[in-house]
Amino acid sequence: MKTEKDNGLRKALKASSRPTLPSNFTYRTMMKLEEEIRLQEKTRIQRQFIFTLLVFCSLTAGVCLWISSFSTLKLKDMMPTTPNFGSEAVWFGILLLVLFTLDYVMRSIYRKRHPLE
Amino acid sequence: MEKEEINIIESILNGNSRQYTVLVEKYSQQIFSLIFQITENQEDAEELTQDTFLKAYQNLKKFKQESSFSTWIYRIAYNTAISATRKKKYTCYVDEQQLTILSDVNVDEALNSDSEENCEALREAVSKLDAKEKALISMFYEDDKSIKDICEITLETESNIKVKLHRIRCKLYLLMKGETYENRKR
Repeated sequence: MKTEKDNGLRKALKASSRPTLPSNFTYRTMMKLEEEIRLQEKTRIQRQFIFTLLVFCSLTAGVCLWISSFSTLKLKDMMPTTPNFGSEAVWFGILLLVLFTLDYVMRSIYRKRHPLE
Repeated sequence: MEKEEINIIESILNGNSRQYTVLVEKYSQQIFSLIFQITENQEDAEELTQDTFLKAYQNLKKFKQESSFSTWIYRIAYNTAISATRKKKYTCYVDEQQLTILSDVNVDEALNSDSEENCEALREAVSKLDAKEKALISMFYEDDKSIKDICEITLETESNIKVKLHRIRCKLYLLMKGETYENRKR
C-alpha cells in the first residue's frame, strides 16, 4: 500500500502549503517550561514546609501533653529524679521553628538567584 | 532509540532542563505539522504543540524507552490534538454500502494519479475528513510512519489501523466524486 500505490495522495499531502513554526518557538516553549518548573518547585517547597510545620506542631503538642501529664497525674512526685525540662522543651521548639523558617527563607532566596539549578 | 537521545533524556531527568531545547528543536516542526493537519488552524496548532512539549516534559519520568521518543511524543501530540478537536466536529459521512461495493482498481487509480488537477481534488477531499482520519493519513503518507509506529501512537491494533486506512482511501475516493452526506456540529 505504501511503496507503489497512492502517489497522488502522498504528493497532495506533502505539497500542500503548511505554515512553519515561528523562529522563536523553541525559546517561547523553554520560557514557558521554566515558568512551569518554577511553579512546581514553589508548590513542592510550600508542601514540604507545611508538612514540616505539621510535624513540628504535632511534636510540640506531644511534648506539651507529656509535660502536662506530669503535673495532672502528679507523676513528678513519684519520679523525683525527673529533671525539670519544661522550659528547655519550649526553647528547643522555638529554636526548631526559627531554624525551619530560616531554612525555608534561605532556600527561596537561593532558588530566586539560581532558577534552574 | 538513538543513544544520543537517551543521554539527553537522562540528563534532563538529572535536572539539566536546558537540554530539553535539543528535543524541542528536533521534533517541534513534525509535531506542529501533525497537529496542524488535525486542527487546520495555525494558532491552535502552535498552542497545542507547546502543550505537547510541556506534557512530555512533565511526564518524562514515565517514559520507559520501550518505544522511540519520537513515537512517544507523537502519541502525546495525537491525543492532545484529538481532545482539542473533539468539541468541534465537522464530519462527512459516506454510505457504508458504497464503501463495500467500491472497486479497488478505481480507488487505486484515483489515489495514484499525481496530476495537478487530481492532487487538488485530493487535497479538497482530505480537508473533509475528520480529525482522527486526517491524523492517520498524515502520519502514514506524510511522515512515512510505519503501521507499527502508528499502532503505538494511537494504541490501536495493526489490523484495525489497516482497515481504517483502507476505509479512508475509499472515503477519499467518494469525497472526490462528491458522494457524501455532510454534517456540521459547532
